[in-house]
Amino acid sequence: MLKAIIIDDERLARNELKKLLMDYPEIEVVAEAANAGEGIEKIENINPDLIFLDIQMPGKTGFDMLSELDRIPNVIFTTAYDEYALKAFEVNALDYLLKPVEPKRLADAIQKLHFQEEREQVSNGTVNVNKSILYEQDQVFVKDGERCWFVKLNEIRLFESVGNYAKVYFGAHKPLILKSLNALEERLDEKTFFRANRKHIVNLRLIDKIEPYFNGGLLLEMKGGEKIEVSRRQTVKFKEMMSL
Amino acid sequence: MKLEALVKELELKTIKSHINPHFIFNALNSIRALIDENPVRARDAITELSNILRSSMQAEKLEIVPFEKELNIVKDYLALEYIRFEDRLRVEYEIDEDTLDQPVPPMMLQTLVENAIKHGIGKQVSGGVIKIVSDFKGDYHELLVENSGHLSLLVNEDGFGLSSTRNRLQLLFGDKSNFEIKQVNGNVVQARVLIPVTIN
Repeated sequence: MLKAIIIDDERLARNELKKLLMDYPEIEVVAEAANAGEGIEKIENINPDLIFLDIQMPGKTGFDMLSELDRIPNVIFTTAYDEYALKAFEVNALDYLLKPVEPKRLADAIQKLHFQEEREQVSNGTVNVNKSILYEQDQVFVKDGERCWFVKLNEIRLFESVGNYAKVYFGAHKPLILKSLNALEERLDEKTFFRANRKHIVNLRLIDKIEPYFNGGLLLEMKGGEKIEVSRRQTVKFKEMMSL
Repeated sequence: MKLEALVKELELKTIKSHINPHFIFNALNSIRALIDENPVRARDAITELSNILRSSMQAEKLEIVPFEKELNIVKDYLALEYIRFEDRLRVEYEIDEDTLDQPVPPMMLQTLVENAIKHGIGKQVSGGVIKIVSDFKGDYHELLVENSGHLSLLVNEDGFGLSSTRNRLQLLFGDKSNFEIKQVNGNVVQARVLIPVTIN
């Protein structure tokens, strides 16, 4: 059973989608929200597997809403007109649906969802239980000005502290997010993410080379070519972790 | 003179008033939901949508229409938006009946109301009020569209609806016509059109 939340400012639009979803007993619509604020509250309380998200809403847009969430569930965008569709693809949403929703398109979107779920179960093996920790397979939504991305944590090589912000390195991108490195460190799974020094958290699975460095420290070269120093204090911990 | 008239006609035709596709598809989606919930309202909604689409197509052929005709389209339009917004949209009309025969450019009031919804009501979680006023001010037919909201949003985001309104008035009625949009009373945006009175 998959828990879903419908977020759309129009009551009739939410009803119409609920009606279409009645053909899918495996998807249970557990809540509805009429704006981004309500949406955030319900997503954080319920922790759904899937959200149907309208893009144009009063107050904040659907994109703005996503950028305020820590952990992003699977997202299917719903919009009346496809000027936003391209943008949804750029952010790598699971799918997007044009309203009025064609039943066949909904079926395709749900099939995609099932494929995705299966893939994740295979690669995850076990189900992660601690809700406050972000694991490798979790995805986050990063918005930098007009551009936005869904990013799996296992694609992120490096977090770099820049004042109150953190620079997130993945692929060829390095947008800024408004989070401190200390706050991130608390949320990230320590099996994967390691605090190398005051300014950097590295993804242990995306290290390319390890070399000895001054003062008994280490120099890591990440898969993207970034060179990160491991402080002497952290080097002890690093060696312990890697030898396990 | 003949050439000038031709140029004017061509210019007017290029300033087409498009109905926002977002509106059309949202309306169709609402109507589909209404078919089960309130079939009588769904039937009316289809009539309203047809009137708007027909009027939008005719607008490309006509230079001016009686204000009454334009007002009816706006009423249909707002009835459809009410289905979407429900309690978030409140509409007030203050119409001097003597203004109903006055000539106006087709789909001009409609464009102003559409902007008022898009940038005013649609941006606010609790919605707001749209007020439409038509009366005489001296030798002018005055049209007002007011909405709850703030102007800064409106001016930044949509130049087209506003500049096309200005151009159409200029081409049809010359310097005697006027169009302005401003913030009044802190939380109300007012679009105001002045057209010289035509005596039949």
